[in-house]
Amino acid sequence: MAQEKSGLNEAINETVDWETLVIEPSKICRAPKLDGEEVDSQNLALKLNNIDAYYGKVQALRRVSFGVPTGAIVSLLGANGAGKSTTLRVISGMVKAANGDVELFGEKIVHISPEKIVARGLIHVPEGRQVFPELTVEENLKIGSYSVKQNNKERAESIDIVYTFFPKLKQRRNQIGQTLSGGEQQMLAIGRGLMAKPKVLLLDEPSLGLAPVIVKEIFEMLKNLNKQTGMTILLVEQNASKALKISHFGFVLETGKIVMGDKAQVLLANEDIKKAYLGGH
Amino acid sequence: MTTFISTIFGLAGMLFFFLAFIKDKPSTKRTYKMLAGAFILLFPFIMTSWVQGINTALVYAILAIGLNILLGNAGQISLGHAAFYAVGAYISSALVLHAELPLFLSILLAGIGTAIVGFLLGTPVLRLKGHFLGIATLGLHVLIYNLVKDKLKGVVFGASAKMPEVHKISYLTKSWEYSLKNSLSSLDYQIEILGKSKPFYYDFVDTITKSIGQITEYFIIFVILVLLVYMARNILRTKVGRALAALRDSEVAARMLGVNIAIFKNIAFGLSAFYAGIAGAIYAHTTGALDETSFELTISLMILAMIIIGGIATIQGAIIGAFFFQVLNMQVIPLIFSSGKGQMLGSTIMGLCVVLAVIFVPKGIVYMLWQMKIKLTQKRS
Amino acid sequence: MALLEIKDLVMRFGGLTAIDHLNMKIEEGTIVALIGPNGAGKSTFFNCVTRIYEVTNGELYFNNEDLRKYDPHEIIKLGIARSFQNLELFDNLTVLNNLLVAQHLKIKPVKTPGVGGILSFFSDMFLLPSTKKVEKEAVMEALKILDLLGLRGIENLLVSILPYGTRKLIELARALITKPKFLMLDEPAAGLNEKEKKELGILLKRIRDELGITLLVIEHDMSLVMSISEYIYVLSFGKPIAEGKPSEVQNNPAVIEAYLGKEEE
Repeated sequence: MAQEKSGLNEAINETVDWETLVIEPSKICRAPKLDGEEVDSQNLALKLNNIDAYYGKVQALRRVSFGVPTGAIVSLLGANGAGKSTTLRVISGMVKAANGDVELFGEKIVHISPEKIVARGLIHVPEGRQVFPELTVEENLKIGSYSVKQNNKERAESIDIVYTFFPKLKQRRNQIGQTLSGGEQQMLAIGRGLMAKPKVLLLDEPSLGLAPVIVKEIFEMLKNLNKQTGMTILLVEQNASKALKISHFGFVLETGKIVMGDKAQVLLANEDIKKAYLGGH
Repeated sequence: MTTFISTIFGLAGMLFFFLAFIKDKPSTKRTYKMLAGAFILLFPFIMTSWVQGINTALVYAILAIGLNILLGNAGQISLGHAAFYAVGAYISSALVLHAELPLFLSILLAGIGTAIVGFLLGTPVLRLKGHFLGIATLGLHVLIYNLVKDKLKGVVFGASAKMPEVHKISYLTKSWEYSLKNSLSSLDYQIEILGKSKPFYYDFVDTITKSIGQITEYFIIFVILVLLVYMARNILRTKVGRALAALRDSEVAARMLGVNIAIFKNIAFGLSAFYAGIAGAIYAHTTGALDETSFELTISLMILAMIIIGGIATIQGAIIGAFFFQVLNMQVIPLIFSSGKGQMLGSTIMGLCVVLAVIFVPKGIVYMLWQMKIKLTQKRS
Repeated sequence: MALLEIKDLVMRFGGLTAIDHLNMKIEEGTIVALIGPNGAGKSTFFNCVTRIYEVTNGELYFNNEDLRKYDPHEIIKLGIARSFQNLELFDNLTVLNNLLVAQHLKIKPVKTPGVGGILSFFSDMFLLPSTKKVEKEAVMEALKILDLLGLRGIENLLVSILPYGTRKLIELARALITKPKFLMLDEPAAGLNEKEKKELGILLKRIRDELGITLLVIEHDMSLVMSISEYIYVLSFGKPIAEGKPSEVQNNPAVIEAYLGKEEE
């Protein structure tokens, strides 16, 4: 009995402790204007409420809450193992949250299978590219559209749209996946995600293992994509300064908890952030 | 009445095993372990009708542990594992019948001999990977199966293909069986003279007397299994086991760290053949019927299914899988369908169980239990 | 005499020339970087040195030994260790066990020449004191390396659940624990944030200074490359296009065009 009581106390202590660190989505997104681009912070594309997630016995996320406004680019920063990739996996349904809610345009998607989440307009491009090595670029792209019903004409249109953002892929359209360079594979992975015409795009480390010149190209493309189509993008990136430069908002994860969140410009200027994640130039 | 007692006893035993596995607190765990141990000791005296089936399960467990080292730990598939089972059975039989070696020495030598055969056959076969390796081991099985059928059977046993009674494990306690039978019949005689009804323990002693040979086999196979589990556990936890796991997970990284993958693939084949050889030898000295039908392809596939259902790459998984299969096969299904027609339906149900298990517990029973254990500790903390 | 000397290396896969007449000399005790666009043949070069690929043409010498005489699993005995671009950890093992596999050659319970291997196997099988002793030493060694890299506390976790950057560091630890003379790292900073990259740079310098290990590093993060390396080779489409001190390479127009891109800030 005594043991149970102390356990309960611990649980209460835990809640109190976390509560102060949890960031209310509404508090965060009160700054709609940024570089003259209108982002309505009240209109959330994605909203996470008190997410807990585990890998086996290890708790990876602790009461993670934040919001992603529709039409914004939001960066998720943090050290290795802070839980950034896990957050994306929870949103796309690949990791089951132990507690908490994820809302996509106001609808709960926590208990929905990953395929159905895709059909609702959310695409997750995981880290490490994973293109189909034996299929051609165009075949790889076509696979991306299988989750949503498209006839041949619509599919051809989608492919054209991808090619306008990634002209390099058009040049390589008949080459098989494994013969592409790392940068082209990353473009193909993103392009394949775009084929499903997502409203929300989750990107995990798009710059991983890429040459500087390619990294620049990819970030430039993400900015254009957001500007021209109004696509909401949630970006996980180790290259924090580059990511923040194209983002509207940023959130900082530390050992599974959100510890800070603000407009990207504010974070870029923040001394602590500079020291911890930007290499403090 | 006796069926009722043995059912309750069996269920209680399973519960003890389950709790010993799932509980975290050392003192509670120890209690349940001791209860499970008591169950193991008392089992053959109470559930006498189960002993023979469980003996087979113990032999299958040895086979499954061996195949699991190859498949689960080293990542190399074998579809012809019954071939090594046959090699072990025939080496041991030949040693007992023609070299007149003692029983246990011949079992040990059969294991070592089969290991050498496995090691050597591994050299050409293990150059292959994946599907091709599967097909090659299948070919190996056909080769040995036909060798047994056409040549070895006659050479080793003459015409009969039977292991003589004196070389069976059950023969070790034959004299006890006789003396017990004698005293029981004299008790019979006295009861008759006195004109009284039989004492309550009469039935009990009677059934035990009848199955004393099986009980002997049970304890001996059990001790061998424990020894083999201990050895497997130590091997898998030290240098060789780690090297096998390394070549399974990444051959290229294993090579870069100095693991000679060609030799370690052979070692994996040899080790798993050692286990199959011991299992075959025990089979020879318990069942005694040793024609080619004992080593059919279905045995190989069944062992594979045991590992997959029990839990791949774990020793517990191999044992649980073997018992799951055998209990279902020998006890539960005959219980439901006692007639001949039911037997047919029974194997259909077995197949269905395998399919369901793969769908619902794809990683095997052991992983399911681990998941339960983790969930319980999460809840508590 | 250089520690590693590559003369006129050519590597072809069918019609594709992955490495085209590469010459390289690495002096003992230096940190050398190998950079170039994706698909330039950098990782292929690592695979040539470690004998995973049979080279089409050219000579490779390490410490005056002809590398072409050795099998891939013997390379480690010469003192060459490496990491991999796309992680080749043993995913189903714990961090600790990954580091124990790396001590495969060192763990010898019985050292008798000839039959030592078989005796060791029996010692392992029955967990004799000789096995316990070497196993314990190996574990202590692994913990020491984890301490050095600031990774203590994760030793009993499965590698597969750890984040990418941490796994990269474990691969580094696994290479280090073999006590190599020469360490080849393939994108060690991938998956690390900028602060972690800086720390890695400091760590790599310490590895060279304190452990005396010569380093060859493939890396895309130019600030890291510039801060640690003393000499840089640049590959593009299998051809060496430039080499020299960091400042020289950074301002080489060919390198800027093929690899770095124009700085806009």
